[in-house]
Amino acid sequence: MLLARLQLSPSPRIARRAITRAPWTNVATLALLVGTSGCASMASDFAPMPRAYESENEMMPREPGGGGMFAGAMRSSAAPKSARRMAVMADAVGGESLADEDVMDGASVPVAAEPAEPATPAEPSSPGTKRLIIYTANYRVQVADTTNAIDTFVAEVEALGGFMSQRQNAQVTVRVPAASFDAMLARLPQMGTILSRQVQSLDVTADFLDVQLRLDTALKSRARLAALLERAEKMEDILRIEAEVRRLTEEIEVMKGRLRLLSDQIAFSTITVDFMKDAPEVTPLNQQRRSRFGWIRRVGLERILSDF
Amino acid sequence: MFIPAKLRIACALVVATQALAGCATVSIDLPSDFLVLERDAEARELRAATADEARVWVREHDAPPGAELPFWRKALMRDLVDARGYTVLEEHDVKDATGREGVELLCEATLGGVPHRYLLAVFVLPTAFPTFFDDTIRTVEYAAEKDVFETHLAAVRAGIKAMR
Repeated sequence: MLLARLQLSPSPRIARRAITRAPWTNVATLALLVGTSGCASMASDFAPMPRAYESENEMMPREPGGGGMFAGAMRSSAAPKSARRMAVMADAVGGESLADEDVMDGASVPVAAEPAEPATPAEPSSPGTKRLIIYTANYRVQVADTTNAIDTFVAEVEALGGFMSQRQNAQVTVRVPAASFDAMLARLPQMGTILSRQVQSLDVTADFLDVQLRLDTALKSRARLAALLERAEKMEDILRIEAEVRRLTEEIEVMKGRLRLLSDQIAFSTITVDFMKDAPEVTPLNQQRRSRFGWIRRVGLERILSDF
Repeated sequence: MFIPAKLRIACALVVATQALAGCATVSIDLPSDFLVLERDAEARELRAATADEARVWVREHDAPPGAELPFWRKALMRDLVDARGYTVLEEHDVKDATGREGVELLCEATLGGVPHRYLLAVFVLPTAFPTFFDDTIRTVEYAAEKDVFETHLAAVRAGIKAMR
């Protein structure tokens, strides 16, 4: 009531008078104001939460232009630029750490090498940190000729620097440089009718930096043990240190492998396309969310084939 | 209660107009490949089929008055695509011989393991008296197995364009 009176009061003077005339209600008003301001701050705390995982799963046989909601989100957020990502990873592992390269799945994949200086990875949540994101997509596309479509698709992937990683009947999985992910997805609606589309982005920044940090720590520990090993004289000490070095080395290899895998998945997005010659089977009547309009329920392929 | 003569005549004309509109038979010009199986003025429908089981079904339905073509297009897409799982291959505007605008959907769907294609043309015939009468939705459906569909597609489309 007091709040209502205050809001309706024509001037601050009248409002002040209302407060002085109702001292008990002042306390309640203050409590209410504090309470509501608390709610507001809670809401604003939640608002800027970074989205660690985004996905789009859409059944969309129309919209031949492709793109859609996810394409917009991709453009507005961190676009998949492999070159930029490599720079980010280089920053994260201490500048020169990407000098070593391994070959995985036929592609050149940057590998985090042992840093000479202790790395100081940035906090994943700090505003300046760029995100490391793995993009994957699953499409079902109806085409006139599946073999021809697969050949065309794979040829275009290879032209963009990607490669085919798996093919099973009319389903093909390809890896494309992250920078070409959008371009490749935009190409699919031109090849046929999109029956379904699922695109996911997984933010692995925290995971990557965490593994990197643990790797740095393990490397430093191993270096210290190596120094101790040189000074050790007792056989018992030597055996214990060597056992610890072996354990650490195994851990280091596992972490390197994890970093290598993440680097590969970040640098090369995965697209799986199921090419189909015919449209899928119609949803059974009892599973359909039917229209409320009678005439719409009375038309359709099922009706013309059964009630004709 | 006194009702002026002019108003009585007007009411009678309205009823007569609507009654005549309801009695009008639906028709479509189809080539001789199609055999007209049923022409039902009462039910306002026409069925025709070819020897290779391509089917044409022209009907008029009652629908709540006031909704225009974009509304029905959206409602149809929701039902055919989202609910039933049809794949829309083409979607475009059409006109009949009177210049009335409609929408044509060309879909594909598999039923019982057999891929079919399905064309649906929709025209809205709004009532002049929405307080008393429903709108009329005229539909032309053409369905056939995928391999047969293209054979008669042009003839059916020509028939739709020539409809009055």
